[in-house]
Amino acid sequence: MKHPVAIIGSGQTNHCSRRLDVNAPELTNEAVQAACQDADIDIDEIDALVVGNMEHFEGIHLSDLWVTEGTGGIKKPQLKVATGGTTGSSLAQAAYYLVAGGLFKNVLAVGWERLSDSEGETTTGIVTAFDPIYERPTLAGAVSGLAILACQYQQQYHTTPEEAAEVVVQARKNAQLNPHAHLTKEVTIEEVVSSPMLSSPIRYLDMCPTSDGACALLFTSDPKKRNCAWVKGVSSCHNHTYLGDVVNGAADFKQTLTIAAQNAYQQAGIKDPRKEFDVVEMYDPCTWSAFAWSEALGLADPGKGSTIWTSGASKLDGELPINPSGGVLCTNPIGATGLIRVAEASLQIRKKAGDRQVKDPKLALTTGFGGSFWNEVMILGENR
Amino acid sequence: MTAVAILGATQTKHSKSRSDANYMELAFEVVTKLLEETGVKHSEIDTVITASSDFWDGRTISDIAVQDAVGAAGKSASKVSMDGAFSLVYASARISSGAFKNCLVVGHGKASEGQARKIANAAFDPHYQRPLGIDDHGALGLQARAYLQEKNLSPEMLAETAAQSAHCYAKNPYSHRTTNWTSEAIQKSQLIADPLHELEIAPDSDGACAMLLCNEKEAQKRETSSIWLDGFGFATDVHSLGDRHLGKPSILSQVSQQAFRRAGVQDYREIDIAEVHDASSAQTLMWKEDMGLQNHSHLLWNPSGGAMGAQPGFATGLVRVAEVYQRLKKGAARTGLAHGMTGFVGQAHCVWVLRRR
Amino acid sequence: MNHHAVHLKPELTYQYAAGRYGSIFLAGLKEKKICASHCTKCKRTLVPPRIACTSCFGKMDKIVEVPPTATLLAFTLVSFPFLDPFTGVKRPIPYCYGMVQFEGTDNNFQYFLSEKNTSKLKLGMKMIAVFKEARNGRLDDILYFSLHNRS
Repeated sequence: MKHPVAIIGSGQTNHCSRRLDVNAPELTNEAVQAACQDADIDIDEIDALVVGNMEHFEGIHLSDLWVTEGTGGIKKPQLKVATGGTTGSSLAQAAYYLVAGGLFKNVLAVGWERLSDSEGETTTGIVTAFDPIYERPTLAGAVSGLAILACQYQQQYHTTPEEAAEVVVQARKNAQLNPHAHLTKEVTIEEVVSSPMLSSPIRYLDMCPTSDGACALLFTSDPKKRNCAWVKGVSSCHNHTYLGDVVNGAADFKQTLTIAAQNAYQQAGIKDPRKEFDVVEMYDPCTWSAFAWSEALGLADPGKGSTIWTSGASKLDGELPINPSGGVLCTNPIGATGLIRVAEASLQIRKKAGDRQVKDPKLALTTGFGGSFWNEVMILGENR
Repeated sequence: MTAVAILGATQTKHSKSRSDANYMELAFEVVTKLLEETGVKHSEIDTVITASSDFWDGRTISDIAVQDAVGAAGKSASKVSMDGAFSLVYASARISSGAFKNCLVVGHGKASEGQARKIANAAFDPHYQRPLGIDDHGALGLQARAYLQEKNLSPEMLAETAAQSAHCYAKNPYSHRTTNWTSEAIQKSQLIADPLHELEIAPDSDGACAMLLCNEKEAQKRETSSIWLDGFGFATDVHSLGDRHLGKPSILSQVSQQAFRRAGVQDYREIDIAEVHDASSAQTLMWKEDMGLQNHSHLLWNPSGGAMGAQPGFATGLVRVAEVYQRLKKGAARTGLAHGMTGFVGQAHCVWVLRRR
Repeated sequence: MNHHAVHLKPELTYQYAAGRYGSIFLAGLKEKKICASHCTKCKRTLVPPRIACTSCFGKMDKIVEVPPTATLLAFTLVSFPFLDPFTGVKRPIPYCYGMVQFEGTDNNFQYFLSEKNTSKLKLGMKMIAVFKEARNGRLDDILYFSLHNRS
């Protein structure tokens, strides 16, 4: 029988380009200590851990076994869940099920990424996520994969680069209020649309960075009297193996974000997501994706996703604040990114989001994206 | 945890190389066979958990390769980047939460496609141990020597134990190794990492394993008696080789006690059969002692030959569970124990207690 | 304080099995044939051929040949430098690739396009696979896709 699950503690490092001052165990330890402090819990009370990063990118095999020195997992049950871009959201889901299933009471999810210091390694790594014979020769990592989607969206709806740029302009503004965010420098629409083209139509400033950082999030079935955020809906939807099957035109194309969202909405009793959600932490790896995915989430009609940003509804004081943390466009430690969405949403619900706090949020929507374009959704609320 | 039953389990015939199959085809084999045997359709499977290693597969997000083979597209699915025995914990949690009534678990590994020793070297900490060039075989050698010294045993003991494993895996139709090696022949095999010879170390295999779990209600719909995952235990120990005495009892002691407690096992003699992931013949001995089973005279120990017969990467622990499951199902025993591990000299262990009811 | 870093890069090589279906496809390329897998149950025809049907997840039980003509369904011009995991050096840029749907198939195939001026490309255009003169049974036996009978 399902146990109710609450989030009682959240910890993040201050994400940046390079953390040369720490190794992975030390990096994760920072986030773990912060989460335990936030939850006002002793590390001995953690019953189990789920940890994840993309070991292949960092060149460290079985990285979870090394990092256990920093996560507090020594002599404890610890699982590793690493699913690419969704790693962080998969960690949140795994922690949720371990608690909801009654296997453990307090489960700490820890995601991190500490890439070696060469540029472009992430793209190299992501290329290897795809078929070595058919797909690697053409694929240029997440950038070109997302560019293919953006091309289809742009050609169908004629959205302009200026409209797309609005997403990152707002994200950077929000990031300035987030002490953990990586990229906080303001950008203008002009700067975005004149930044170097990476893979048409995605330009340099349309795309998320890669960051070094860690996030730890504590899930429990027994929050006692703590200030907590309750998990109201959990769902994920996986996709096919080959990229040619996951884009428009494929007969078995699945809009996995819609499938996952509808499932989660049903669990949480959400009928009108645009009206009922007070804040959204969406996994936005590039500006163009934000439009298609807000439509897939039912937050806007097909082709109208851009209006959420261009109308100002997505701003911190708007009717539907999106990514008050600055989102993935400002901060992306891959193994942690999806978890940070849930962590930020939990801070919003618990009214601990500092200067980026949205006014009185009761329901928060989070998404995670990655793999062969699969999606994960978790909904948090202030009531059990 | 609520009651979770195993509806079926299949495995490939493990081998040195499955160059005839890519990962999708390998996983497809075991999943198709499983669905045929259980009579369950793809459309009836609620969720999927896969177990695979990105480094072994040479593919970041290695689970992408098997999505269509396991029928995960369109479904909620996830992956555990550890040995398959650990993935059963996540699968059980998904069922126990009430969100899913069944769960397909698939683990795979192909040692033939990558450079196993170099991949293993990449698992040691980059500052102090990796630069030494140590790999899994070297670490197993260190462990075996520490164990022999700790117990004051001669190296011949390792060969005799390996011969007992060979006697079993020679009868196992799924095993990679198929020869009933004698202790003499084993001692004559190439010395890999003193004191371990080649045939005293588990092989690098290609293979896959699939298992279908379900909740109590689904199990009760079946007419036959079910095999239940009655208790689990798992934990991770310190990482650095020098941070613990490799010859002394490992964290497996704590882990097996947890599994026994959760399963309500009062006395070790209740365990009729045990299958462990023994990466070396030293571990074949060590894991038995760590679980307090060394005096259990009528215990059926690694009847499949254990990992000494086949070690298909992260599928290895899942195969152990499958082997116990098959024997319980046939009525050969009532209570079984299956073990998996991640990390070469047993840094992380996972134990399951299974019962037929 | 000086922070030390250890620079290690596992130099690993892999040998990826093409599998039964992949082997048929690659052998077909040598003969300038495009092979697809077909599921007689779902009537799906997919390139590249593979064992699991994307509709029913059952076995794709037939191999059929499809013509080299296709429809363009997406494209992108890649212009940023990155290390190619295949070659170990930076991949030459810019290059253009897209998603094309072979006639008679139900999914998309990802490959290079000869046209690098994206203003000349539009979704729905007809393309044709152009093969190399000397072929080895590898994916790059297909040079690229070019515009076919300008639409």
